Amino acid sequence: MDATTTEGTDASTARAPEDTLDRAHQVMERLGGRLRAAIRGRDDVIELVLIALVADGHVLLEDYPGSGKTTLAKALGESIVDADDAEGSDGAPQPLPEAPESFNPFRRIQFTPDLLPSDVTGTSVFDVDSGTFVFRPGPLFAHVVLADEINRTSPKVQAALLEAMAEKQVTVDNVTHPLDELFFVIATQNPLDLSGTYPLPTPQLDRFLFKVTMEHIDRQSELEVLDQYPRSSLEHGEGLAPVTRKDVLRARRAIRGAVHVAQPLREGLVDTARSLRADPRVLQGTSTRSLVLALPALQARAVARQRDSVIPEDLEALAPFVFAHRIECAPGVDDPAEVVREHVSPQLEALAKHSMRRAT
Amino acid sequence: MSEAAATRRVPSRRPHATDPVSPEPWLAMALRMVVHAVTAAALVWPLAHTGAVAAAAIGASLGSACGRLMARTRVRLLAIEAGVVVALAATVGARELWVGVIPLPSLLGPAAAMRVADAWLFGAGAVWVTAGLRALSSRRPALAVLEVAAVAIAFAQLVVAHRHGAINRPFAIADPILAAGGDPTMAFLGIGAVATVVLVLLLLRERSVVRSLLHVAVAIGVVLLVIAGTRTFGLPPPPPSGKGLGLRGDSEDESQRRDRGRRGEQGDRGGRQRDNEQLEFRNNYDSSGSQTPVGVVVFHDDYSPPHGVYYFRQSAFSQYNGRRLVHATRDDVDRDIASGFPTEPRRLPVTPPDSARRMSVEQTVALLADHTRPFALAAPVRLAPATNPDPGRFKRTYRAVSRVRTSGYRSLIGSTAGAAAWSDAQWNHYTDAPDDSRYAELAQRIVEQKLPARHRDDPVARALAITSWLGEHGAYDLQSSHADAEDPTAHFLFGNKTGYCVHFAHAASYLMRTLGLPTRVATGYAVDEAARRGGSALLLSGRNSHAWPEVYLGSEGWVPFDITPEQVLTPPPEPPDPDLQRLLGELARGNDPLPQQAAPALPRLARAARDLGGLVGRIGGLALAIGLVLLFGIKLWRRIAPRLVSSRALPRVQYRAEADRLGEVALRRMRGESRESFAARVRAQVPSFDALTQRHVTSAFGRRAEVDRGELERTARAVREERRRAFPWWRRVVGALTPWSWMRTR
Repeated sequence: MDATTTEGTDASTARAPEDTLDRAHQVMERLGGRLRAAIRGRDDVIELVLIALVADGHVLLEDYPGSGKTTLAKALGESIVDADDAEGSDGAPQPLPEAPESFNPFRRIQFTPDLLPSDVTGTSVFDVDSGTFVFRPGPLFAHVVLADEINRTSPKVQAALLEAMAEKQVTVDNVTHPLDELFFVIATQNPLDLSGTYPLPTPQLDRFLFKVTMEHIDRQSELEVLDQYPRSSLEHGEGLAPVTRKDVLRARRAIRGAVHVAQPLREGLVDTARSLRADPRVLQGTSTRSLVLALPALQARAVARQRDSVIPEDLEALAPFVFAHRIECAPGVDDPAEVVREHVSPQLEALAKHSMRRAT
Repeated sequence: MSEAAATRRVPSRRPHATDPVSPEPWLAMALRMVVHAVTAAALVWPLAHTGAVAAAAIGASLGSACGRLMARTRVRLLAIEAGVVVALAATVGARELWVGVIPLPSLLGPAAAMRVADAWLFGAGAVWVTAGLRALSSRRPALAVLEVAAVAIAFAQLVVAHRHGAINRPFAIADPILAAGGDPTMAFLGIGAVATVVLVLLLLRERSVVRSLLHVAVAIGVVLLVIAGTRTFGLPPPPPSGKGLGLRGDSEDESQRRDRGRRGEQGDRGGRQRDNEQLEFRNNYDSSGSQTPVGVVVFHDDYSPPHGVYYFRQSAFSQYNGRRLVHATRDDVDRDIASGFPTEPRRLPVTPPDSARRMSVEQTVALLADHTRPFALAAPVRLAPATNPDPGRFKRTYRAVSRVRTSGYRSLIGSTAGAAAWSDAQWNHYTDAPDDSRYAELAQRIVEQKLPARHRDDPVARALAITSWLGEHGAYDLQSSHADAEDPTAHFLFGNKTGYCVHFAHAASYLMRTLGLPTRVATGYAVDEAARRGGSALLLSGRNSHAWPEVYLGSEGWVPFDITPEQVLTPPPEPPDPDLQRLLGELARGNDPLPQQAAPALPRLARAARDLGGLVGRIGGLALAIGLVLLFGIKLWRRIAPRLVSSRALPRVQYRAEADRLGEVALRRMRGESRESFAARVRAQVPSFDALTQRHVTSAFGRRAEVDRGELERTARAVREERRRAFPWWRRVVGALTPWSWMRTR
C-alpha cells in the first residue's frame, strides 16, 4: 500500500500529474453525471459515494426504505463496465489486474437473520463431472455490492462480509479466493426499526470509510422524481458514457501520488483524532487506520473538485463522515458528528491562521 | 466513564454573532424592571415633583422590557441606538410643544401644565434611555457595565452633597426628616442599602462569574476614584472672596467670611465710594476705618519724586462757587483730569507741555475700594485697562503712564504763570477768589515779608512764599471748627489757622489767586516716598487722601505746591504694613503672593498623584495618538500591499486585503470556520470572494504554482464591485474610518 506516498514515487504520476488527475476527475464527473441523472436530490451522497469509491473505501448508508439507495448502488454498478478500453495499456507500467470471468458488475445481498456466511461468500460444491469440489462464488464477487440492511443478519455473516471488505478476499474451506480489485460495498441499515437487529459494533463500523445519514430529499427533487415516473430511473443515465473498471482503478492510483497534502493538513488530521480521543465525552477515539483511510478520501475529494491539492475545506467536509461512526460516545451525547465538528473547528482555525503565514 | 463525566461538558456552540438574543426568564425580567424603576426614581427625585418621579419609574420599567424586546429583533444595534436618540429628541420636542405651542397651559393652568409636561419628559425619557441601555447590554454583554455604572451614578448623585459629615445635606432629603425631629443618618444608610440591593440584584442576573466580577470591579473602582479624588483635590474651593486675607474690611475669619449676610454688610463698608467729594470742610474729620487699603499702585519705572511725596491726582477743584472751590463746570478747563476709567487705551486730551524736567513712569493701579475716577501720579498722559488678576479682591485695575517731574522748584524759577493760549474767561476761572480783601492784604504781606525784592514778581517764588508761610503759621488737626462759617477758609486762615489739608489748600489757593497765579485745589492721594520702603508697590489707604494747591506754570503745566504744617496736632498716618503692601503688590501683578505657609499646601503624596495623573494623561494621549497612527498605518499597508508584493505572496495578500474590506462591513470569518465556509456564507453578497478564497487556499496548501496576477486582480476588483453594490456607502465609510477593523479580520 502506498497510501502515504505523496510525490515522485510513482513514475507515471511524476511525469504528468495534471494529466492523470484530469482523467481521474473526468472519471468522477462521468460517474457523477450518470448517478445524478438516476437519483435526484442526492448530490451530496453521490459525491461521498464516489469519493469512497476512488479512495478505495466502503460506505455505510443509514437510511430508511424507499430512499433510492438500491437505485444508487445499481446505477453505480452499471456505470462501471468491464470492457477493455484502448487506453488501458497506454503507459501504466504496472498492468492492471484483469477481472475474473465470473464477475458481475453489481450484486445485491438482502441480509436476513437466517442468512449464512456461505450465502455471501460462496461455497464449494461437488462437481459430479470432474469428481472434485468446485468453488461457486457468492454475491461478493462483484464490482459493486449492495449489502442491504446489514444489521438484520447475524454477527457471523457480518463478520464474513467485513473480512471480505478489509482483505478483499474470501476464505472458504481453507482456500482463499481473491475478490475483484475494484470491490466496493455500499451497506445500508435502518436506524429506527431496531427490533430483532444485530447492531454493528464500533470496531466493525471502523471498516467503513464513511457512514452517511441520508435525509429526505427536497420538494423540488421529489417533484422531479414524479415527473420521471413512467421510465425507469436507470434509463436516465443511459445517454452518458459509462466508465471502465480500469478507469476507476487508474483514478485510485492517480490520486495517491498526484494530489498534494500539505504538512499542516496532515497535522490537522492527526490533531483532530488526538483531540477527539482526549475528549471526556468520547469513550473510544478513532483508530490510526481511520487516518490512513481518510487521507485518500481527502485526496479524492480534491480531485472531485478539480484541485491538485487538499485544502482545509476537504477536512471540514469529510471529517464528520469519517470520524463520527468510529468514536463511541458517552451516554447523553446525541450527535457524534457534532462532537467531531467541535474538534475539527480548532484545527480549521489553526489552518486558516497558517494560510496567512508568509510562505517559506 | 460515568454519566456525570459525560454531562460535565455539555456540547455548546458559540452563538452566531447575529443570532437574536435569547428570551429572558420572566422573574429575571421583572427584577430588572424593578431595578431600573428604582434607579430612574433615584435619578429624578431631586429634579422633579412626585408625579414625574413616578412617571420616570414606570417609564424605566417599561423601557427595561422594551430594550430587551428590541435587542431580540434583527435590527442592527446601531439602528436601535439611533432610534433611541431620535425618540429622546422627539420627547423633548413634544414637551416644548405642549408647554409652548399647544394650549395645554390654558386648559390646565400653567402649574398643572408644567407638571404634566415634566411627567411626560421624565417618563418618556426614562423609557428611551433605559431601553437604549438595555438593548446595548443585551446585544453586547460587555456593555452591561454601562448599566451598572448608570445605577451607581443615580444613587451617587442623590447623596453627592452628603460628604464630609455634612449630615444636613442634601437638604431635599434631610430637611423633612430634621423637621420631623428624626435623624437623617438612618435615611442615608437606607439609601445606601437600597443602592447595594439594587446593584446586587443587577449583578446576580449575570450568568457569568467573570462578568459579575467585572461589574463589582467597576463599582469598587468608581468608589475608589471618588475617595481618591476627594483626598487628592479636596472639595471645590469656596467662591473667591479675598483668599482669606481679611483685607476687604475688618479682619474676619474664613468661616464668617463665607456667611452671605456678613458679606453684604462688609461690602457696604469696604465698598464705600472713594472720592474727593468727601473732602469737605468738616469739623470732625472721621478717620475711623481710614486705615483700610483703598488701592495699591505698582510702579513699573523707578521714580523718586523731587520733594519726597508721590501725588496721585484724581480730581481738581478750580471753580469758585462763592463759598469754596468745586469741580469746574466749564468744558475748557481742567481737561487734564480723566473723567472716567479707561475701557480701552487712550490718551488724555490735555497733557503737560513736554519738557526735559519730566520723565515717563508707568504704573498699574489696582483699586480695593470703589472710586468714581481713576487716579495716577501727576500728570497722567495715557490710561489703559488692565486684566484684573483677582476679581474677588480688586474692584478694578488699570495702567497709567504719567509724565512726572524730576526736578525741584529751584529749576522752575523764572517760569511764567498760566498758559499763553488761555482766554480771559479761563484766566478768570483760575484766578477767581473771594471778594474778601483780607486775602489780598495777607498775600501781599507774605510776599513782601518772605521774598527779596528781585523775586517778588516770580510766580514760583510767590507760590512758595505762600505755602511756606502757611506751613509756618498753620497747625494740622483733623478736629476743627470752621465748617459752619460762611467762608470756612477765611474762618481758618484769619482764625486759629488750625485745620486739615482742605483748609490749607483752599487758603493757599485763594492767596495765590489774589496774587494773580492760576491755582486750583487738586485732590487724590499723597504718599511719602518712604512708605514705599524700596519696593515697587505702594499701598494707599483712606488716611492718604489729600488735597493740595496747584499752580499752572507755562513751561510745566500744573505743579503741586503743597503745604507742610510745622505744627501737627493729629498724629500723621501710620505707614502701611510693609508685608501687606508687598503682598497686595504681588497680587496686583497677578502673582500668587501666598507661598507655602499661608495656604495649606497639598500633601506631598497628593501632589505626586497629581503630577502622576498629568504624566499618565500625557503618556496616555501620546500612546493613543501613536496607537492610532500605527493602527491606520497597518490598515493602509494591508490595503496597498497587493500592489507591492511578489507574485508568490499575492494570493495571500490580495485575499487579506479583500477580507479586511469585508470585515469593515461586518462580514467576518468566525472562529473555527474554515475560509471556504466563510466564502460560502457570504456568497449571496459577494460571490466573487469564493474564487479569491480558492486561489488563496490552494496557493497556501497546494503545490507551488505560477500566479496569474491579472486574473487575481480582476477577481479582487469584482469582489470590491460586489461589496459596493451590496452595502450602502455610509457603512463602507464607517468601516473605512474604524482604525482597528483589520484586527478583527480572521
